[in-house]
Amino acid sequence: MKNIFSPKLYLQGLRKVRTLGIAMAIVMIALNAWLPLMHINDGNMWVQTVEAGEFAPFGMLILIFAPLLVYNMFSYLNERKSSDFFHSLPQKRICVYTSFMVAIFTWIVSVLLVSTAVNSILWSVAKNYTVSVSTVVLTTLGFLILAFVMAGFMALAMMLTGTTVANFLVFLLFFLFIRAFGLFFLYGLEEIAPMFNPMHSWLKIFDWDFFLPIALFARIEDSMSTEASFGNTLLLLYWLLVGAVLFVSSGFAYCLRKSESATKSAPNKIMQNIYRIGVTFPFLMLGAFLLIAEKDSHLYLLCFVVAFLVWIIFELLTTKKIKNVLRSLPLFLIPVLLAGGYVASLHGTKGLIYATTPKSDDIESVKINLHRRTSHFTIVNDGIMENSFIDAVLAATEITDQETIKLVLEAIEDTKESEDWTWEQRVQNGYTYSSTVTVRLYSGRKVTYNLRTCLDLYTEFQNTEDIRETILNNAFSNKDIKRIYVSGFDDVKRAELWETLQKDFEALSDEEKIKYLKMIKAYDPNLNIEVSGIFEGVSFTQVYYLYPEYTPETIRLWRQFYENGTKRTLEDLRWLQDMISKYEKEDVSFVYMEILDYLSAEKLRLYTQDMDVIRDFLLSVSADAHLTDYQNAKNIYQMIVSVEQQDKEAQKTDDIVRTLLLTFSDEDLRMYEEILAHYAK
Amino acid sequence: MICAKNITMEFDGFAALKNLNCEIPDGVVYGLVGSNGAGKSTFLRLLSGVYKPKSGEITVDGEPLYENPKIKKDILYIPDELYFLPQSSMRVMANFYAAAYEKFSFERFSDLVKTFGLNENANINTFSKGMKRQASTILALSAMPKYLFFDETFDGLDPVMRNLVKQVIYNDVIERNTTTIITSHSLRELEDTCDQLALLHKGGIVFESDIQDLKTSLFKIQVAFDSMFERSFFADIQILDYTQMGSVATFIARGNREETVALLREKNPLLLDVLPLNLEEVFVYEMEALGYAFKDILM
Repeated sequence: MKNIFSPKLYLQGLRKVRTLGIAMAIVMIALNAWLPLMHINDGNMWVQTVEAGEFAPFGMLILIFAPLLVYNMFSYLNERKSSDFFHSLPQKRICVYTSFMVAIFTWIVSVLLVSTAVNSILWSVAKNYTVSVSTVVLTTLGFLILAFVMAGFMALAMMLTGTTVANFLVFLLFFLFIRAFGLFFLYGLEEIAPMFNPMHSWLKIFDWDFFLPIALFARIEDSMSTEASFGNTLLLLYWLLVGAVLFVSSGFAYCLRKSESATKSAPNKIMQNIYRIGVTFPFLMLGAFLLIAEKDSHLYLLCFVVAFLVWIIFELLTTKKIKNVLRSLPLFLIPVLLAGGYVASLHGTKGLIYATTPKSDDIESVKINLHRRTSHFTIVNDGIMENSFIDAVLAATEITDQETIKLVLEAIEDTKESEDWTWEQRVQNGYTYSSTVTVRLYSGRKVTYNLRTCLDLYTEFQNTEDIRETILNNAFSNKDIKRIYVSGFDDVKRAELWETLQKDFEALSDEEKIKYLKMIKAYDPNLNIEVSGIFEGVSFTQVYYLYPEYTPETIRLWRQFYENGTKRTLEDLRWLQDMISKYEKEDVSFVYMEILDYLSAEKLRLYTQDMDVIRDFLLSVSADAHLTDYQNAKNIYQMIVSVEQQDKEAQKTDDIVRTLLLTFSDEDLRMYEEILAHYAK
Repeated sequence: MICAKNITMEFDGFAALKNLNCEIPDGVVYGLVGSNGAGKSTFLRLLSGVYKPKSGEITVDGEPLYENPKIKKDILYIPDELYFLPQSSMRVMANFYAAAYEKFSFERFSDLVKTFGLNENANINTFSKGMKRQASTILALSAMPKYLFFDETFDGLDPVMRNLVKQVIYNDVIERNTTTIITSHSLRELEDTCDQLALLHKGGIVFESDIQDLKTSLFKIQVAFDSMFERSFFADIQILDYTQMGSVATFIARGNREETVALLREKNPLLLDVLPLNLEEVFVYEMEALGYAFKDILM
């Protein structure tokens, strides 16, 4: 242990980088405190759980500070006299390395823990915000792992170079460009072999989604959901492994490093050439990629020019000698040839993929997934991408029917031919929402292909015997249901409505059942019951609309519940009138109001926080609203009103939210439509 | 004892040291002299474990040196270009040395700081070049090493401070039997400092000797006779350099001074003078005797 770690050197290491460490602490604690402080008196109407995006988002700065700390600690390797000094110390090199690296991680961990603790405490103090333990643990752990990785990249770059410029350029080379190689290979392959789907193989590790240090920054705009950012345990483990490999590799490089490497951009000429080629190659690779993907564009020429400039600038920056630049020019041919090799390897791999496309005799079963691939850079829950129950069944059920398998193979062949599609053709053929099919071979191997032409196939799939049977047996099974939602009713009534709907469904013939399930795909502003669940591991959200011909009992129950609800609504109205009368007199203030079409709850008609608008509108409504005859109501509005009332005696503020159901005569309705339209502007 | 066997060190194909061999006994002050690029600093870096030789072996007290903390804790190297932690004071550096060298003595550090009259809390960046050298010497001696290597250490020191540094080093050698290696490109600098002297040229030690032997082994004789004579007249004396003007001969002789004088007296000279040689003159003749032109080595 003594040979690997020295507590005394560790303490000296802590001291060595203390200036940057303190600066990092000040910046991170201040920024992480600032965000919740900005929201401390927000007065949210509901308790909002803070996501990673709000929870310590400036923790991401640790990804920038970590390499800077490493640079600060090991910059002595860039100067001969300091390099000699540290190499002459009476400790094994590995001991110096680990002691200093542990000191760096101590700074990182301490600053991150303190800044996230401050952030977490302030969010907890902020009104109606809460931070979950899982968010705190996941986010902190995620940031720590990524800081470990970033520090590892910088450490390795520093051990292999000897000037500041080379340190940072090679850091970027390791961090960004090496990943770019994999990325261009994947994207290039998807471009020339549209059926190729890397996301279901180990190759997905090269996808941007898995490049967490950068993906995090890209997710800031989407408020960086904790689950999407750090919820993938395997991904975190992968990056932990990368960090560990970098940590060990740089330790190894430190032990082998020659002190005389200081002031040299690379330990030898071969490495200098490798670095230069490494920095230049991605630009040529991009050019080659554009040559494949954008056949009509000449952007690839620009890439070639940029690559050439990068070649010259890199050599100039690292060696500061024109002579070296001139000497290196003939070697520019190497990355050019490598880019050619990239194109050749793409076509070679494409040939291999095509040659190994299975035949119908090889296939045991197929499984279709209508989703485009899950990507952190696309919004998955954008309405269209929600799985319906049938989607979930399709995604979970393996189909063995030979006719369907033949259809799948035809779809794969069609997809092959889509290589030359224009963007418009891709959109037209549903490429932007491309589906995948997973083929299981008799050999036991599973291969997943993209399908660009899948809409007809989707319909065919639904009609296969396997799928029909699965749908009919499971459509209303309680075991798959996790949540039932019917707007305006409590859990007991929702459960009762769901139970009745199940009975209505059971009463239908098989043909009627299928017909009913397919009808609900269309938008229908009618009564509905929304259920969410997980079928065989695939989550779904299904809205079941109520039709007199299919679900008569459920509709009858729904209307009955409404009748009973009228009394409550009258009470609500009296409360509302009471509030209006207290407004501006007895410390009552309206905070917020929204009006929705009750029959299609998502359809928001008005949302306002303007107190005068709320008061004026409520005055009119409370005077004119008719709250009877739900049986024959043509229009029902759901009005949610939020009020803040101060209780002077108790010296506290009460927040009250009430939901009122309103119905109007045709004449009144026309008037309110106008008012709503006016305010909506 | 330091023992270097067939040490070769190369940088980008250039051999800085070629098959160097040397043995340095404990408790001596060993002077290493050579022109710029002779390989002095490279040799010291090898002896400090900064470099690993391309071939050959360096042992200290019988154990290999490279990556051997047990040996390195007794070695301290003060390079030509000094390094201190950024924005540090001598006190901060002392703490760092104490973290690295287990035998570091703060008591000795305080004594030496007083002796040299430096401010241990001042930023070293504000020190003059000479003060920095004093500071590095203080820190090195406070680490209580068994082996101390100074690379061009007296550069930048005024005569008074140079003597003080030398005195402190001598005390260390006497009190603690420290083995010290001092490199310089100036023979005069080492003349009154070292016990042993080695001349490094083109990556190899071309000459090595005890300094006292060196000074006494060669001497200059001026002699005159009343009759004509030639060089063969002194065949019984080992002569390195010989000049004659008429009846007066001047030569550099090697051997026992008293015996040589007695031999010459037997020849009844009219004049016989034995003149002292300084170290540089001794080197010139020794080098010439070995077939080297001294000016090529040290000039």
